[in-house]
Amino acid sequence: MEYNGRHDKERNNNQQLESQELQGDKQQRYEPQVPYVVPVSEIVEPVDQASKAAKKHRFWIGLTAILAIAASIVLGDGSSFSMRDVMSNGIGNGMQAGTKLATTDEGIELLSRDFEIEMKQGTTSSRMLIWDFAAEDGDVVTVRVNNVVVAANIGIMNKPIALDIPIPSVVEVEGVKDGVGGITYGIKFPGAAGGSAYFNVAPEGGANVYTLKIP
Amino acid sequence: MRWLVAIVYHPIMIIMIPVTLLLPLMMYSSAMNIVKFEIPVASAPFFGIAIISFLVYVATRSRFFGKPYRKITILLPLLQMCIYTSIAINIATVILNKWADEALYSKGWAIALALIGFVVIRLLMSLLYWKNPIVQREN
Repeated sequence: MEYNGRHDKERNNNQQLESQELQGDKQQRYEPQVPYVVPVSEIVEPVDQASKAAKKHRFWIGLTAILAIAASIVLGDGSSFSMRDVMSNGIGNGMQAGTKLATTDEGIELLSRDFEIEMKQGTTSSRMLIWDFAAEDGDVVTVRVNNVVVAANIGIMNKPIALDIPIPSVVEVEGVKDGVGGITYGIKFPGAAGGSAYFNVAPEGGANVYTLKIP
Repeated sequence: MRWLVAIVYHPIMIIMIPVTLLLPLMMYSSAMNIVKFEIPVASAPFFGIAIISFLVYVATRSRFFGKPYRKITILLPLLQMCIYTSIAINIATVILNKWADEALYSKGWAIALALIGFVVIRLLMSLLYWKNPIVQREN
């Protein structure tokens, strides 16, 4: 091919320019647009926090179950007592007021007794808690403190009744009416040295005497 | 095997759910009776609360057993809160019972200690949910 001077030179230049423009177009047209990629840490982090919180809550509710079992063992949950525990002397060591020993008054072979109870040092007043430890059969008693009637003709139930009493004093529980099988009652004086409950049978028309004294 | 366990687990859980939700209310009225009538009452057995806690733990631990209860998203967290509140009230009841039954301290001290015990447990509960919120904060 003859080099035809200026025209060839211009054609070459044009060809070069066209090829550059074409390459530029290619660059503009074909360069892929790279999207912004969210880092994995940003996606995972909130989910990770939620699962951590769930694990913590699961741990604490599981630990609560274990601690509750330990507490029931230590505190002696749900101890049950029977007449055999108090038959010999009518004293229930460590029994809570309101303890029920029998479902019926029949066959309760408790003797009617008087008690002398020592209270804790420095006690000047206390409460008397009295309840029916067998069936609620309409037993009625009258309570006297130092020969003064503080509660007359009270029907005793399984739920204790609280009466304020001075210390020292002499408390008499007089049987007024027998429902069925004897006037069965339990009595407790919070603040007593032994912390025991006393189980008794009051004769109808007769009285049991509790002498409360301080050392 | 797990289907056999599920046959036992789910009926018990269904019965326990309303009991657990109402337990704090029942225990509160029981504790108030101690203060009002000055007599001890039977506190809720810790063993019963332990059983309820275990059932909720199984529901949170196992996707299979907990699946029906996750349908209501608030249920399991609410049960947990009721359990913690019940424990707080039960501790207060034990403290009040010690006064009512044994006169270990005066009535005023009994009420103060019971309130302190309740508040401590509730504060611990608040701390737990502050540190580990049920719904994640946006920031």
